[in-house]
Order: sequence, then structure tokens, then C-alpha cells
Amino acid sequence: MNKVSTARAMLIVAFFGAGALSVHATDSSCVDCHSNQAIMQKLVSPPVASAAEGEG
Amino acid sequence: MSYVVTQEAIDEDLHLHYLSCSDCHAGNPGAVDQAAAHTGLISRPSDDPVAACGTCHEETAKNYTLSLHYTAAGMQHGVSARFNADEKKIFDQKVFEQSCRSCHASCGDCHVKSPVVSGVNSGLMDNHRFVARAETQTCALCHGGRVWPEFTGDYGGMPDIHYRKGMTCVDCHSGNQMHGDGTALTSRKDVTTKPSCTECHNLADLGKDSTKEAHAIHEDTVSCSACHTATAYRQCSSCHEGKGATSSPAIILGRNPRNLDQLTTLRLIPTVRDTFLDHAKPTMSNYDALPNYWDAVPHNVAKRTDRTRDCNTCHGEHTYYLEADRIPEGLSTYNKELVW
Repeated sequence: MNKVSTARAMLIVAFFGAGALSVHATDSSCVDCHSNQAIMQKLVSPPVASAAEGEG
Repeated sequence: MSYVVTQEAIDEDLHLHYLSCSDCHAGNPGAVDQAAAHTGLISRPSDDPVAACGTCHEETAKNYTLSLHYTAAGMQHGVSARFNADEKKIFDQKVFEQSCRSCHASCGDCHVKSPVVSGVNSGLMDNHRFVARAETQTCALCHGGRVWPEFTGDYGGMPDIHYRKGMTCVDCHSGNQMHGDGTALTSRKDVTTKPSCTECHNLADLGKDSTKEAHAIHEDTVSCSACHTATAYRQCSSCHEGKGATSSPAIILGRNPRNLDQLTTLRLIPTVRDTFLDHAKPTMSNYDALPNYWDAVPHNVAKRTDRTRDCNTCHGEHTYYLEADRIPEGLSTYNKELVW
């Protein structure tokens, strides 16, 4: 195996290896609710604005 | 804005791709009902920047824990000279820690979810993608009382020339300034990385001969904003903790309390003698140690104003100058020192 082929092989291993090791956010039950518009609308109450003038 | 974390965001954003939700938010990701899943949940993980973001962004996170946006130390120290030692203890414990300090910004307040202002939570900026800058959803909310609406013209008058040219906050106030350099500061005036007009505008090369002459005459004694503030900006008065203040528009010119030899734009800061009385009752025995007017840079800059067009605006009419007999009653006696 020449140097170019070795480098390519290492890149492929690194690419797929990293992919296998990565922890994707979808690998949990959190996204079942937090990616669902209808559920989130039920859970989150509309904000009530204060009449006071703000600083800043 | 939304509270929904989209699949597209999860697929596209590197943070969401390589980290699980529980890596930052803890909780119990294997549970199927809300209560069990949220056991031990950390809703704002970057309230601890080093633990949450410092794993990868070590230096930035460490520096940020000392920055004014995180510590809110400017609010604590800005008023402290008004208290004696016992009053200051009460203020620090019962007012600063329980009220002022709630305004501190976590990493996520600027990069993930808009900050909560006056109890209004407007949600995720981009479906939980991590954003580098989103001034209209971040800076504009916390600084929406004065600076932002003056900058955009929403407070009335002319929008800032920089805004009209398409610039927003981070074009001048860099990430380095926001994150800090690892120095613990007590005032925004001490930030060494804050922007300066002359970084971009070289006075020696600017405009016609008459412009160069005007700049040369005034640059040692008059701030840029004294002449280039376009229109009235917000002056706030009579603040009572928890109840807010009242405001009115005006341009006010007077001595800079940090440099009495300089004429600059002053902003009325709303601390009155009984501002804190309804809350924890720290009186201010040394109230007169500080003025109520402070040097401010209103963000509504214009190239030409009534002061740049006509010398008589200042040198004849004294338009906008702070006058002793027009200072509201009951405020600090120090204010008279600022009359030019």
C-alpha cells in the first residue's frame, strides 16, 4: 500500500470512527417532546409583559 | 423564535451533533414521562460557563466568569459609594444578590436562547442552534430600555448613522470585549477593549479644513458624543426597586464626572434617595458622594447636528447645557459640580 492509499484509509477510518463515537442529540427521549411543536405549545405559557420601564 | 428544537438544528449544529442533551442539561434522558425525565435537570447549564462550555472553550469560558456581563459587578460598585459600611452589607446581600445580579448573562443567553427580560422569555433564537451573534435577539432585549431604541431610532429622532449603514453591536463591541480578558472589573469604563470612535475615524484626516480645525480645537475638552449625538436620548428618574422609573427625552451637556475638564453628554441615572427603601431598607447615608448625571454615549450618532452646523448652539445659546436651577429637587448635591 503506497503512502497515498494509507493516508486515504486512515481518513476513512477516522471519519467513520468519529461518527460511531459521536453522541447525537437524538439519542435520547428529550427530542421526542422538545422537537414537537404541538407538545411545546401546550407546555409553554405565553409571557406577560410588565408595564414598568426597563433599565439598560 | 420558538421553543422547538428542530431535527434540522440537531443535524446541522456541531454542538447538537456531537453532544447529547444530557451532556449539558443532565436530567434523565431514558425516562418517558416529563417529571422523571426532568429529575436533576439543569435548565441553564451555562450559568456555570467553565463547567458547561469550558470543556471545549476553556479560555473564553474562564475569562467570561470575570466579565461584567457575567458578574454584573458594575451595578454593585456603581452605587456602593453612596452607602456606609453597614448599609453596603445590606445592599450587597439583599438587593444586589437578590435583584440586580439576576441580570447577569450566561453563555446561552447570547448564543442559544434570548435572555429573559422583565419575566418575558422569548425562547430559542434558532431552534437551539448555537449562534455566534444575533444582536436583535440578545443585546437589544437587555439594552432595550435605552441604547438599542436610541440606536435604531425607535425612541424617536434619527437612527444612528452606523445602524443606517448596516452595522450592529458586534461590529464595534467585539467578542473579546464581551467575553473579557480575564480581568475582574468593577465598571464598564475600565474595559480596555471597548471601542473608540478614533479607532476608525482619524481626526487628522477627516473632512474639510474647517472640520479638521474644529476637531483640533475641541478634541481635548469635548467628547465626540457632545457634538455628534443627533437627537434627544432617554433620561430616567425616580427609580424605586421593583417598580421601575419614569423617563423623558433630552440632550444634556455637562462636565464628565470622571473627568471634570471634559464636556460630554450626560444621562440622568434614576437612583433617588429612597430607591431601595421598599425592598431591604438600605438607606444611603453618603447619597451625595455621587452625582445623578453620568457620562454616557448615546447611540444615535450623526455626522451633522445642530452643534456641528452652528458654533452658536453651544457658544452663544448654551443649548442643552445642564443648569443648576433646572436640576430636579432632592437629587445629589454633587450634580452642581457638573454644570459647565
